[in-house]
Amino acid sequence: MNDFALGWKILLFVVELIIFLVVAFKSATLQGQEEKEFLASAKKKA
Amino acid sequence: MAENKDKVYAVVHSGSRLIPAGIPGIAWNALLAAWIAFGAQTLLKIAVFVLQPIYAEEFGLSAFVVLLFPMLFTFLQAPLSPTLSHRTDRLGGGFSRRHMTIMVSMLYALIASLIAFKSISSTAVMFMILVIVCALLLGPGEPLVCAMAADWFPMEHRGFALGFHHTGYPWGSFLGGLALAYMLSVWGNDNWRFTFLILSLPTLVVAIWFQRTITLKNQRLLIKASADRGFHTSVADERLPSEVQVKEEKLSMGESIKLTLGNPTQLTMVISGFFICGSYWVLAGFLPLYIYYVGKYTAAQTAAYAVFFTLTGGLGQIVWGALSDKVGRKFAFIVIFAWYVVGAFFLKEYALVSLAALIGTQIFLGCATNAPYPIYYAVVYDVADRRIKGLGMAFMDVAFYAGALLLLLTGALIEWGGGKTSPTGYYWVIYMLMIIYALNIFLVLFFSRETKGWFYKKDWAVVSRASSNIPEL
Repeated sequence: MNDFALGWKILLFVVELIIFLVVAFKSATLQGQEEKEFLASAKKKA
Repeated sequence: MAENKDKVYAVVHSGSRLIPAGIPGIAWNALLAAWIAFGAQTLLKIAVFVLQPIYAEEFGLSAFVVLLFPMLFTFLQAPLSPTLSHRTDRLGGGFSRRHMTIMVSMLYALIASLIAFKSISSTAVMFMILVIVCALLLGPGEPLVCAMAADWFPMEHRGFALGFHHTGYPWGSFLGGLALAYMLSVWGNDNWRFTFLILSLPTLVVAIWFQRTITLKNQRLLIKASADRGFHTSVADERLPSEVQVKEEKLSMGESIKLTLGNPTQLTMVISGFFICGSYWVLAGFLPLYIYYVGKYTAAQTAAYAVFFTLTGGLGQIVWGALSDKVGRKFAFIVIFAWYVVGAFFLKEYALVSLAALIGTQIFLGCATNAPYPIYYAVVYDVADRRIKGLGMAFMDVAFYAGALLLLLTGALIEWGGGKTSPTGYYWVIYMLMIIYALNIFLVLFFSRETKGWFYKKDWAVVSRASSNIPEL
């Protein structure tokens, strides 16, 4: 079973995976900070 | 009520222009990100539909079985949508939708990329499993980006924002169809799997864009810039009757569902959305088979020619979405549904006469195929309070995805009409579409309340405004 352009497929998949891990980590860290900040400011207003 | 008229309800804020002017840059930035995200989701969705003739041949599938792929793919986008979307409602939407959107987007892109490897998707069963997992993650992506478009754009132009945003679907479909046709013509039909990997790549760009744009800092900038220019944002200004007497409390899932489906206008949108969007899946599912087997076009030509209705589909969304802010949501629905009945008749009578007729009938029909969706979302966003806006959007999507069950009937009609090479079953499918649209005119007219526009006060609905969470002005 020959797989057409297998090398390209592996390369693109690995790039996708790395970008996913980086973006997900950054977003998760930011989300934590933002939620704390948002709740603190809502409490202040109340 | 004076305060309500000045500030509280979205319904009293109708933009004076069809095309908005003076909107803050950050609102456009967020709308564009949500738009591209929706287009990127669509690239993968359309591949499952337009590649049907190719994988039907490779796996040796009948019309009924091959239509199970788009049916399951669409239907299974529903189960996770309400839960995951509702989680993003808990801080009032806005920035809090970012992380979930990135996670589901990147995960479905990775799963779709796995289809590209022949060793993983070599059998119909394995291909179906990957398609199903992809669908489960893809589903929540749609209500999340729709809610994002409504959260970040001034409520005065909600219909426009949702209409513009929703063009991501038809125009993404069109680009996806052309890209698929090109890739198949270059690499050959045997390498159809690779297209899934290529079409998942734009999702990377979107994830990075969201990570930088949809933030609390930008949300505060948006609120300030909008207020400076005389606009109102949903995240800061909107209060509906169900919110006025309560504190900013969270609702349990059960209470949220009760509040959502207890609203007759919202429930009517869900029922109507099931049939109307189901009809869209029917059209998207049967058209490639109709063009390939009855029209006798090649697979690459079919991939390109089966998506022409999406060109005017996108235009219809912008025009009708924006017009619905002025003329009213229900009036827009009624004109669109009637237009579709006429367009479907043209499709049956003339589509396969010539290539020009195939494109021409799709162009006409397309003005009505996609136009209703932003209006469904706009109605739901108009009547759902901020504690359940994301959930309201998700319920619409559940109805939309569940509409894919109509593909079972479609496959059965094609089989009963003599199989995939006989035109009879396809004609029955078109008659079914015409009946659905005609009946929906009456459903919307009598069982939902107008939320904006010319007929706000002169409405033929048999349900009350109070039960629909709409103020008496």
